[in-house]
Amino acid sequence: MVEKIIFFIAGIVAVISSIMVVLNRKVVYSAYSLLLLMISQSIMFFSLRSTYLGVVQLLVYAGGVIVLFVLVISLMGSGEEGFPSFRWWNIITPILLIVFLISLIYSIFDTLKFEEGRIIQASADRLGYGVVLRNALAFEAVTLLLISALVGAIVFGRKKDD
Amino acid sequence: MIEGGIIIGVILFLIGGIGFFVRKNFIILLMCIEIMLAGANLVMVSFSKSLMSFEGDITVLFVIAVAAAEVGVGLAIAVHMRRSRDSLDADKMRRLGE
Repeated sequence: MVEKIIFFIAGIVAVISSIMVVLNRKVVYSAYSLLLLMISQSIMFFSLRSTYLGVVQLLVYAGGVIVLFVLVISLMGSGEEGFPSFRWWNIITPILLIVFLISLIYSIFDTLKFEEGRIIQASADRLGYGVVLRNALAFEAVTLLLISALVGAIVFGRKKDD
Repeated sequence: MIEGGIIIGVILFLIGGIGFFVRKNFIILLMCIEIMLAGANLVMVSFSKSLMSFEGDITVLFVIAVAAAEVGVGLAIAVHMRRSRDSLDADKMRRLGE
């Protein structure tokens, strides 16, 4: 019961902070709202008993990605931006997205029935066995992807003359 | 709690998608992609809990790794844009190669 209350409070915080990411004018405030979103999502993972994912979410996002965002913004300025001009595709595409996703969520809850049973815990050892024993090729592919992303970031980030 | 996870995940995906179409700053676009990935992760964890397995959790682990790589390359592109043309407006972003 307490878990459920914590889960829904974290969900409300996640939705509000993601709205603040989109609506803020200053980019730094958007980055801090994104930090709040990632922390609340890690709380949601914890209360869904995915403890290892919660820890990884905190480490990678709050510790790595958001710090990288804030570092880049404070290093080179945010790039000023007025509020967006509302042209027709700026209105049509969100409406289409809303309609598609509401129909999707309706069809999910129309066809599937979820029973609140025993929620199994996805702890670190189970995830480790699952990754190494059944998804070893994807794991190696992720390492290759990280190396190539590193090379790409270096190539894009350097100056032209050196 | 599982239904709540799915609904919150879809709402996060929706907000991220709308932000991606409405805003113009390149860094905000990257953040909106992060919001959409967060919503998808939440839906995947909820479904894997409802199926009483943890295959979805493994997929979320890979998604987090790919998202970290994507943010690294994206912010490098943002630095390059800012240095070469002094603007982060995604509408003016036509030729990355210059």
